[in-house]
Order: sequence, then structure tokens, then C-alpha cells
Amino acid sequence: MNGEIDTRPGLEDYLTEVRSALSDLPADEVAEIMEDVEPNVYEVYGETGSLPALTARLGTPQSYADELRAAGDYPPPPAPAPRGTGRAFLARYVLWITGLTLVVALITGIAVENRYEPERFAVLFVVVLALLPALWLLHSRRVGRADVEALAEYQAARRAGRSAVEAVPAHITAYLRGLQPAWWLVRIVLLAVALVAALMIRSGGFVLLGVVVAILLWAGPRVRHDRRWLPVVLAANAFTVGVAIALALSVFSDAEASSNPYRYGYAGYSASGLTYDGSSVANLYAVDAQGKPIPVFYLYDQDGTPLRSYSSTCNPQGGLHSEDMTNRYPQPEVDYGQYGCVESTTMPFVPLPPVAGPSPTPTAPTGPTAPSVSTAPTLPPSAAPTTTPPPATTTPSAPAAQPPTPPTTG
Amino acid sequence: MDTSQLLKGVLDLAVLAVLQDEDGYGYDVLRRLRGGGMGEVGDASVYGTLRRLYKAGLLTSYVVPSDEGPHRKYYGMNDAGRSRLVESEKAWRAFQETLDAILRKGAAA
Repeated sequence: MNGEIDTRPGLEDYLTEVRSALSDLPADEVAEIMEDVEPNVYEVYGETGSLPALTARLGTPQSYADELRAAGDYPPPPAPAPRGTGRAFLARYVLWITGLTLVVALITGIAVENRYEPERFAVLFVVVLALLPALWLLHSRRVGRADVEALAEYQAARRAGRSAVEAVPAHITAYLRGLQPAWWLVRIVLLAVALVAALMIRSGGFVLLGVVVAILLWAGPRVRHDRRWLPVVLAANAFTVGVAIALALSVFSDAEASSNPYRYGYAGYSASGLTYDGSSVANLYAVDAQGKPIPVFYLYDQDGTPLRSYSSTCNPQGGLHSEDMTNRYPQPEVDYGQYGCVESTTMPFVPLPPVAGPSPTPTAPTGPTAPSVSTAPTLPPSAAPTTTPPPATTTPSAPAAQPPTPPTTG
Repeated sequence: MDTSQLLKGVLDLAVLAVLQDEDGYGYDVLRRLRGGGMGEVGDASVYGTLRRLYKAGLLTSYVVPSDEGPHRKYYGMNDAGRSRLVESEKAWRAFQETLDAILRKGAAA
């Protein structure tokens, strides 16, 4: 067939069913008949525009085949013996195992990013093994689409699905239908994202994700010609929906957990607070020209904007109390140990005293030259930018005239 | 009575008639029949009839590749078909006259 057919859902099914209704005739004769019938069905589809309209004009595939048989003096079809309780039983097996596979695939999709419990894949594996006979039944045409559609539970499910769709406003369903060609791509992209995520957290699920991507790439285009692949594609779709739910949940919980810098240190946390050369600055300490720590100081940037970062303090009850951002430094280091919450503002290191030589500091008249206690708290914002910071910390060889790169607010 | 039942009996003749002057693929035949007023003839009946006439050696067939869609199988008349058409037409006209006469009598009675 050619590519044009792809855009006509159900058309290939119609032809396939006509063909199978004539399948007792010699193969060459069936091929000859189908050479006439295929253009007919395509033309009628082109004129009527939809499969229901086509069926209204041509009749069902079965009645079309019967009419053709009668007019062409072909022998009547053999007695439809296999269509009976045995066939219904097989159809029921196909339907139920497909439904079970969908549910299990959905749940497995949700769990796939979980790095624990590898045995969760075992259930899906068992169910897929049980699906294989169903696929064989479909492919050998021992069970046809009509058999499944004749089942009461199929019709009940279909009715339920219909009424669910009808509950949604018509313009929304129409819009979603219009997006249909994009769904295939969305599925692949979604699974690719999940695949990368699974590799990052070293979940064994990436193998399964790869298999599902392969199934969708292979069977997705086929199912448009051949509905017998439908259970496989539906299962892959259910799995993808599960993965989408899992990804949405993890994005949600990441947003909630973003105050915890240890969980996803590579992202999110540095979005606020101070950074220096790209890494986050948890606290700042300052020493004066004599190397004495400045106990309290406030930081501003060149525009007078306070340079705030998160500050943790202890609450009066001795518990940890995380409060708003402040530009008062150094912030207390909070130690939550066996004595409860303890604040400490002592420097966690001992800076080497700034060497007098490379620091010609007369250019900083407002700088703290006196013992530091007298300086800080009311330092006016406008004065801040002109202050030359004292040379920082443990690297005495650093050229002191060069101020460190100002911290940036993120 | 359903006209389609009547049509069925004369479909051979009609199909041969529309292929008399010009070959055509299945849908051409269908369109010519519909254009001629046989609106109620079923698509599948026409294709079945074409196959039957072909198998009976009254039609030739050949395949023409098509740019859009599957290739088309054209049907054309051979000599056997032409002579069958002549015979069938005679038979039809005789039958039609007979039936007309019966119908007129029936109406008069």
C-alpha cells in the first residue's frame, strides 16, 4: 500500500475484513478481487470522508463480501462453525488479558523511576507472557476484531468510555483530536526524558523504557494498518501515561523539596542567595585590617540592594527555626545537636592576618580602620560600594588591591 | 418491491453496455451506471459482476499504475463480450415487450 492510506483510520481494517471474509476463495482470485475493491473503497472513502459514511454506503465488510460473492457467482462461504462459544471464550481471553496488561503497564510506568524494588517489573513480565498467546490468536485470525467487539464487557467498557468523553466539552475533545498526530512524538519525547532520568538515578527501569520506545517506534506506525497490534500499542501507551504521572509527581515533589539543598544540589538551590564563581555561598566572614573578625556587618551591592541569603536561627524553645533572608553577616551557624539548637557566630577558620605590604588602604577612608566593634550595623547603603573590602582569608599572596568578585544575588 | 432486486438480473447487460464504447476500471463502471440512473446498484454487486463476466471470458482486463492510490484494473470488451451484449440486448427487449404486455393486460383486467 502507499503512504496516503495512513491518514485514513479504519480503512485498512475494512479491507482486511473484506479480504478475510473472502479468504476461502483461491488466493489468486482474492487478489484479483481486491485489486478492484481497494480502489473502490478508497474512492468511496474520498467521497464520503469517514468510515461510518463509507460503511453506510458499502455495508459492513461482511455484507460487502457477501454481495460480491452473490453477484460474482462465487461459492457461499463455508459454515461459520468456529464462531461460537469457543471463539467467544478466546475473544474474552484477548480482551481481559489486554485490559490487565494496560493496568499493570500503567502502574509499572509510575514506578519505573523508582530505583528500588526491581521485582516490580516481574508482574509486568508475567502479564506480557500471558499476552503473547492473545497476540498469536489475533495474528492467526482465530480471534477477530468483531469477536472482541461482540463481547458484552467490551460494549460496556465502550459505553463507559463514550459517556466519559461526552462529559468533556466538545471543543476540548475536538482540540485533542486535532493534536493526535503530535501524540506519537510526545510519547517518544516523554519516554526519552524518562530514559535519561532513569539512567541518572541508575534505575533498572531504563531497560524497560528502551523496550517501550522500541515498541512504539515499531508498532506505532503499523497499528494504523493493522489493528492486531493494538494491544501492544495500548500497553505501551498506558505505560507512557504512567511515566508521565511519575514525572509530574517528581517535578512536584522536587519543587516542594527545593529548600533541601542536599537532595538536588545541582539545580534550584542557587536560584536565591549568594553565589561566588558559580557555587553557592552559605555564609560570609570579614576581618579588619588587623585580621580581627568583624562581628556584625551588612552587605549591599553597587545599587544599594541588600545582599541577602538564607539565615537559620534557633527559636526560643531551643528548636531550629529557619527564617527569612537577611543581609546581616556573619550569619549564625546553627548546630542542632544533643544540647538542642546552638547558635555560633565564631569564624570556623582562622584567617591569616592581612599582610601590610600589598594593601595600600588609604583609598578607603570610610573603611573600618579602628577596632571593628565600632563600625558596622548602621553602615549607610550608599557608603557600601566605595568600601574596599579587606583582603580575604587564607591566601595572603592574593593582591589585596583587587577586591574579590562581588557576590551576586541570583 | 425493492428495485435493487430487479437491477440485479439485468446488471450483466448494463455492465457490458457501459463498457461497450470505452474501457473502464471498476469505479468508472459504477459511475457510468449511476450516471445512467441505476442509483441503487450496490458497489459490491458491480465488482462481483465484473469478475463474473471476466471469468466467463467476456471481458479483458489490464492494470494501469496510478499516481494517487493503488493501481487501477481496467476492464474492456472482447469479441465474445460484444456478441454477448448483442444477444442479451435482444433477449432483454423481447423480455421487456413480453412483460409490458403482461403488465398492460393485468392493468386492463
